[in-house]
Amino acid sequence: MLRPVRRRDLLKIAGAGTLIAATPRRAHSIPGRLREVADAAMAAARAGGASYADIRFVRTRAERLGTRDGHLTSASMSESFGAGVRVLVKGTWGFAGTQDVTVAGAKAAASTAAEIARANGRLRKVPVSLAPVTPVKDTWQTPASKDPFRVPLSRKLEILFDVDERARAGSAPIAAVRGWLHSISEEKLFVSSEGAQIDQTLVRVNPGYSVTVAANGDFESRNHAIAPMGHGFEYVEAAHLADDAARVADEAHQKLLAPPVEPGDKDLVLLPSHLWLTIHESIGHSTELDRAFGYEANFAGTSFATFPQTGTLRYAGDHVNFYGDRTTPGALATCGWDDDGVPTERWDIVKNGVLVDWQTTREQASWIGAAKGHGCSYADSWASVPFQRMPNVSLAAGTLPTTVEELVGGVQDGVLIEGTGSYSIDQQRLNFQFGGDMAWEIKAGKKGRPVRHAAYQSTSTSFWNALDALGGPATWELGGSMYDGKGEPMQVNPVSHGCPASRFRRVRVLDSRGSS
Amino acid sequence: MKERQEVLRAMARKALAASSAPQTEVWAEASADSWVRFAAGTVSTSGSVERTSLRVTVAFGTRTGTSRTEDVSADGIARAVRQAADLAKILPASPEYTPPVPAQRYPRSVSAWDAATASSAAGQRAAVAGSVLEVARQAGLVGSGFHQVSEHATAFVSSAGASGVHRSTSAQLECTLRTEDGMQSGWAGAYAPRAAALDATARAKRAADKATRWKEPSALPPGRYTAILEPAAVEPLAGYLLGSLDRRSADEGRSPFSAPDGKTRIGETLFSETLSLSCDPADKDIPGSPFAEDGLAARKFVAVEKGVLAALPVSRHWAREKKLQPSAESGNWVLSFSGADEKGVDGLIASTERGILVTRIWYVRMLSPQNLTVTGLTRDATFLVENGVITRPIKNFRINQSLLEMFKNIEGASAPAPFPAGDGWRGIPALKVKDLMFSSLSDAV
Repeated sequence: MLRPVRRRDLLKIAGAGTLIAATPRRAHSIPGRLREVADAAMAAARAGGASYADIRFVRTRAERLGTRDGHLTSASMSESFGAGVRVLVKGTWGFAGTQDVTVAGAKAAASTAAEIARANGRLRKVPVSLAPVTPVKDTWQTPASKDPFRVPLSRKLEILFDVDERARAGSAPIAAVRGWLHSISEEKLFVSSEGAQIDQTLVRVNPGYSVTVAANGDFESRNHAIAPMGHGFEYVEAAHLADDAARVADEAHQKLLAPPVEPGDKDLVLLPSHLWLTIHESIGHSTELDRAFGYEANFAGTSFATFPQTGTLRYAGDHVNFYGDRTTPGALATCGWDDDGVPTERWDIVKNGVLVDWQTTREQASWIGAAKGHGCSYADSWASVPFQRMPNVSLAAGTLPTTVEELVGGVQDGVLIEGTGSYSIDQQRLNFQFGGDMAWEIKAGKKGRPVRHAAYQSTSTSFWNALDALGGPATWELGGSMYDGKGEPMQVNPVSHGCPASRFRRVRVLDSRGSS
Repeated sequence: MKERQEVLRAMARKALAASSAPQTEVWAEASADSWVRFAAGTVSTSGSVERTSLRVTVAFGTRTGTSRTEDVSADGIARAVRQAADLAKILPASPEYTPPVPAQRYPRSVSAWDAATASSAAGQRAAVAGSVLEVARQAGLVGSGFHQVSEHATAFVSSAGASGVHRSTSAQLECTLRTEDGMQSGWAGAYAPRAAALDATARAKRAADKATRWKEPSALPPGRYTAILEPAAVEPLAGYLLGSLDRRSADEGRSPFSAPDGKTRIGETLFSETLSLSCDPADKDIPGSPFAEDGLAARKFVAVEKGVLAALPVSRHWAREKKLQPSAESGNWVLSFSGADEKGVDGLIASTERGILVTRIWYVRMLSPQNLTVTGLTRDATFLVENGVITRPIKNFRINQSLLEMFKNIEGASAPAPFPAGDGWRGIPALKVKDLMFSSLSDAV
């Protein structure tokens, strides 16, 4: 079994002694220069007819290291800084982004945004209405005890080179070992015409590696299952990536030699390193309110779930609960306030198996008569328009301390899947097909030999209604992606999903290579 | 006033001058994107963004570092150069590093930039969106879509003497028209270097026609059918084929184009003998970039000729390892077929006895890199074709299909049309393919 960082490890990391800021904490008052720039933007927006305006100053830093076969293949640092001005003129949005973060630049951006809003006004059917929010002046930052940007590159490369060396220690026919370590920080200052002034620093790290083996004209790859996370470098060190390298290489070889999965209706035991993605696609995306209202119809799609079904649509059995939560420690979408200045929170989405609520923003609250949004607004840079993005949507662990072995023990004929593989779901989030990174047969309650090309096909509601047993809290882990795409122009959203190991009954399993 | 790409070249030269490293390459890029988005019959989010960035790579021997910044002030440029040098000095040597390219003779870009598109105004974009929403209203449908115009400029300089610039424009319109109850949907899109080439009303009418005809679709049993794939359905599949074309992975046994004993399948007839796959920076219809990898001058590259795998793209590093020529492809891949049907999709329908017309395929993902089997789902109007005409709407499908097999089974094609790919273009035709595997039904619209 892989040794992913578990929730208890994360809590240990998050609570480890005195936290040192990822970057120096700033005072509640913003630097005078930016205050002046923000004031200029607000004034120009008002002059352009705006009833509401906000400006986000965003500085994004990224360090990306890549290795292959024991040597460095890429090393880059990037920095992006600019301001995005959003205005509401007679109920129509306009937006402009600029790298000219000066009084003149901000005025010009606000004027452009107002001009766009006025030009589009005749196309607006119903004026945008924003749910009330109490404007605050505050700060928030990712708890991190080791700023990844202050850790020497030599230390990072040592970890990746160690992985390479130990992956090659066994007898697997290695064709390539690739490693990566990305560190990202997102500093943003949000100022609104309502008086909000929110300063946040989000830090994320994304380590990982992959081993490819090749023999007899065939090849396979196996990935380490570590998840990207909203933590500092302490997370990377606690993962001890190299300790797993020999096993990952050996399992890549086992995978290459494994027989294809025997297709048929089977029970599945899905580990969190795999199941988070199924949650993301089938629960996370189907409960985005903009999809349900058709706002993503041209690109990311709509949803099989409709708003009138709130309170009645059964996603799963009574024992199944999904919740949105932008406060989960270490999760990628966790922050203090969203990009509308709304405080983040935890709320139920599917309670006792029934759809009870949605992912919403300030604007969307008015669509459904809600008093407030759930803080789901996000823009991926200063150059992007904030809109509804997925919070961390997680599956609650079972109330009993059920282990993975106990879940497997209840299966006569099934498949155990770890890690993510191929994934595809229709634009309404109903028909899906998922593969894993590694799969094993389960026969008569025991984990058996590895099998290759295993994938399962189902529909969202029938799949989740087939969930008959949840692992206990000790099996609950976070998985996630830095790159959830949505919107036009497309934006990416970092998001995590927590879940326990879970068991599903009689799901259609197929040999994905033989399915053509 | 200097043209944007020359401003970028001056900026890149400043960075080059600021570098004391023996090897330096600088890319300067600028883009201006303006868009209007509409959905549920109303405008939603719209905006305009200009951004400029500089990417500096320096090397001391084979120790290399790269820094990218959007701060293009004199201080910002100097800082980026310093940061790249600092990285290079402390990092270990990279055996895959290739030194900066020397002076190149870049091919002249053809028909890539249009002044009117570069100066599009908010009112013009609103008018395009308004045209689509008006067609939807008249048809009793709900309009959604996206219209964007972009200008992109690039400059490249190297310490070995290379210097080049390029600029381009692009425009796109996509529209999805649906019934009020969300049970019927039709899609159409248009992409071109010139905004004037987008005919918003015609596109919207096509989407409306599809949505209106896709009423109460019936289910066909899953199985193999002849498929007529419109360009939006071909594009994501072609993307996976193109992504697999790499000489190094074939040499290393990690590719569907690997043969036993470290050999490749170059020279074998792997595809339909009507298929050719190439890119050419001088292409007049599908504009390409003058720059190939690392600022090499792009040149014509043929990967597939009459069904034969003629060559695989070779990076500069792999070319050095294997004593080959770098492929220096221009990125504007064009899938062309001998005997393409001049009547386009309509001609392909007319020649089909029984088959499935697919408007769009969505969420395509790799299932098996060994034989390029992918999965994905049809969406936004799928029809049964019988005896040369569309006879009825049918439910959507999931496809699970080997692309090696699919590109062998081509029975017809239209002429390739421009399709956006990153900052450039690809030439994508509609295809008629026999025995495409529709593996299961999808209830989605």
